[in-house]
Amino acid sequence: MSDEPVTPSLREIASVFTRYANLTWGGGSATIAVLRKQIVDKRRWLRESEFDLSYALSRLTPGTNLLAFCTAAGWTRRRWLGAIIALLASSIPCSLLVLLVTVFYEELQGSSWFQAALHGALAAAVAIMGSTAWVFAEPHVKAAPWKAIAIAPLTVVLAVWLHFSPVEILLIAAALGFAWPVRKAPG
Amino acid sequence: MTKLVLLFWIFLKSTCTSFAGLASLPEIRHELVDDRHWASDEQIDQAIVITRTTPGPVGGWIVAVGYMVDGVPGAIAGWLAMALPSLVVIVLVGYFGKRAQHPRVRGMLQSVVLASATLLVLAAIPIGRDALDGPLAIGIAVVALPLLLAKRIETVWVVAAAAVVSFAGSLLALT
Repeated sequence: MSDEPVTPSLREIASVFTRYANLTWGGGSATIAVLRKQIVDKRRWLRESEFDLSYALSRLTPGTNLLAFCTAAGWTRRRWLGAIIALLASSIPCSLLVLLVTVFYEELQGSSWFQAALHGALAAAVAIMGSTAWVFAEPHVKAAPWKAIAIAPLTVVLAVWLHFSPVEILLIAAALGFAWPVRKAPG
Repeated sequence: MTKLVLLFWIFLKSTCTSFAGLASLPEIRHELVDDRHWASDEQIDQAIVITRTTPGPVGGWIVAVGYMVDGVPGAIAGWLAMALPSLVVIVLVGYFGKRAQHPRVRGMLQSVVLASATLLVLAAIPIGRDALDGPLAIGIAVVALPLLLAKRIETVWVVAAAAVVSFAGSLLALT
């Protein structure tokens, strides 16, 4: 199979980001894992290395990581138009859903079927977050197990005991990674 | 109009200086609840519940707060403030993309991805503590995890099945 990525049309970008960036509970990273399956594994719009670049930099961008990731992914293949369409497609439908739920908040809070269904969706979200962490880490754990053994416990110590913010931890990780170069691309 | 512009500015200032969905919460709460009395603590808490109720980014909570403060225009201000900072990533991707094959840049990206994955596991813990409160919910998570790792089933179907099972369980009073 050729390593050349597929360049999507703007319509395809709009369609895929509308469908897959707005339908997952568990926050931005869980949604990015769903998008990864679509745009790396299935449609080959991004190479693994381009995905890592977009994901890592989206975590270091102010604001909402998921939207930064979609913008970066759109920009990588279709520059400005791709970025703007991916950003709109990934932010408008979920914002409309938030608006609808806000407007009908009282009714939904009182609805037992809605609460039961939401309870199930949140239980699935825990599994989604766990599987997402592994999907993202797996190529790097295999390529650089010692780095994984160093970074994961360090992250836990910094976050849980020393109360560093996520962006501070990611900047420390970036500095460590700069000092610990990778000679061969993962995957 | 002035209120709307100011609301947008408060949102934008907070999202531009935070790096995760709810990281802007303390500043927005301080501005809107303590300083200006445009929203109550209860409304802010409600917005957080709403963002957890809906799929997509957690950062969407400011759309809910925007609506509570100033109706639909306020919600649009929240959406704009949530979306605009994302454009900064283009500068970063443009700069690092040209250097992506450099071993040190690869090392940085690899470490950031590994740290992000660990942070994600840590973020799942409080959600798990709330959501996995009975045998049915625990069962859903235990069944969903291998299905998701096998990558054969779309995530949205796993979520839909979990919602249906939980709803059916509530009818049978299993939760």
